[in-house]
Amino acid sequence: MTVELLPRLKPVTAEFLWRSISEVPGDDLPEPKSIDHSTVLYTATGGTRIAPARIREIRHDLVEIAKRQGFPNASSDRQKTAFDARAARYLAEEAGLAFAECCRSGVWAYFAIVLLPDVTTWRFSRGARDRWVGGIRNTFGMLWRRGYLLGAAHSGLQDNWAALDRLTQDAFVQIVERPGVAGNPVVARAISSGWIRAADRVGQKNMEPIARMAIRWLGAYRRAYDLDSLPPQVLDSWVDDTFSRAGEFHGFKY
Amino acid sequence: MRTERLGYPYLKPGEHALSPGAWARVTEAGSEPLPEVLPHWDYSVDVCLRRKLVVHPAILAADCGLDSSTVLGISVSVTSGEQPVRRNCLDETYVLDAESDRVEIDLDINLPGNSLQGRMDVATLLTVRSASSHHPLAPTIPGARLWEDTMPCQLESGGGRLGMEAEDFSKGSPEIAEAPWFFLVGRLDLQEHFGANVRVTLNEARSDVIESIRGRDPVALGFLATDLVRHVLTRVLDDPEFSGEPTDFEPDSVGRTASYWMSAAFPGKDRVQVAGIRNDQPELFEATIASTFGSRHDR
Repeated sequence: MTVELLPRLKPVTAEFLWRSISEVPGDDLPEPKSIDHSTVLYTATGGTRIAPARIREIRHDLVEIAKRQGFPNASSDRQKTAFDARAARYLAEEAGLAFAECCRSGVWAYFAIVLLPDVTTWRFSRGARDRWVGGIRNTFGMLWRRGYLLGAAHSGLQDNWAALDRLTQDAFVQIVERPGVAGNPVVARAISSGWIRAADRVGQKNMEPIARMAIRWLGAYRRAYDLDSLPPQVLDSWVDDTFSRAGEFHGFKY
Repeated sequence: MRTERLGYPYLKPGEHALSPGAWARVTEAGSEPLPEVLPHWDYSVDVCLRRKLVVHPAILAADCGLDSSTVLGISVSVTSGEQPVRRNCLDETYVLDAESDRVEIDLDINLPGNSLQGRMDVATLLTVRSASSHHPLAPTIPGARLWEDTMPCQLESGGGRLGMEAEDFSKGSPEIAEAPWFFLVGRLDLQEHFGANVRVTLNEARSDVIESIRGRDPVALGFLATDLVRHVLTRVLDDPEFSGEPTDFEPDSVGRTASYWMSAAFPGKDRVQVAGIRNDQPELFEATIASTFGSRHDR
């Protein structure tokens, strides 16, 4: 099966283009005139370039997802969270994007800067550089990662979308933005399930410092103990034990 | 010389307990050692790898205080691409026979080309799955890491661990049109891969710079190295999570790389002391880095 190659931007091009965008006066950006840019490039061989109609369809679908949450008007945190959840599922499961292409930071820089700058501006400010250029916090790359690690069915994993409704934004950040600990989808899902069980005991509103501590401890444990290859019950036990002790540290009795 | 200072809470096998063979790439033409840079790769090329791991069970058992019937795990995982995702490729178990002198374990993995890009890191790991032991310091907790190694292999964008490319700056931002290079530095998350966070872009409009770097002129390379180290260290020194201890950070991460740089330029000094030099004696800070990394003696 041939790989569908996605447009991407070189890192320094993304940087320059973001700087131009960040200097445009006003709070929002209009719909882009073109889905192309003179600096866009593609992987040279090994696949077929995505058809322009497909890219336009992806833009259309993501804009519709944003519109359901108030785009282009200012939206509440709840609406933006809902956008994140739906867009993560779309990018990781429904859009049919090739896994290896999704691992390229330049692809997500293209999504944020060329394909959907209006949505990126709506979701985050134009000054938030990390949300625009490549990297782990890019607006759309982060959502794809979230979907791949935590929600989508692949590699023998079942889909897990229903469980993700229980996680807070902070939980997503703690899990998805710590690749050292949760860069393996099995471990990432175990941590998310452990978070939910802990939240059921101590209350969701108390979870932020507990999760932060637990995930840091799991990162430390991982230096001496491999979590990736543990059987599911053993991994769940590790995670639950860590959340329990973090909870006790913060004054919650288990 | 880099030294690991991570202390494990259990006994680990000595170097005589395992003899890991190198990874070989298997093709229709035969097999050859997996190079650090794989030429002519694209998505249509699957990567089949093989290696032999020779374990000396009697030695391993004695070193670790483990008894026969301990179950060991051998796993291989791959990380590839700028979005750091680890995928398990192989997971097998092996029952330790403490009376046995030698066991050969063949590891074969097939990595579909359409699952790879950029650079791939192939990690092999030997762990304890369930332990039987007579020793209080034996690694009995499941997951205990006994041995591991990682083989990096560049699939795209040429060799080298640091992302480097060229672009004409005059087409981008007028204020840097004549700059020799530009460092694209992300958030500098200390645990993230260094190469994914830090990229060097040379200015194509500066043919003098391009020729010098491509010609490996030591003076130009020294200036580039000094500038890069100074830039990265200046930023990480303000991060309270930057301890300056390499073993606090993932291999090839921003934190580990910066820690090695700091200890090379400022041996014996901790983060606070080096930050103090940067703040109070910036000229000494920069000259010290230049003296270490801009030396005529290439390393």
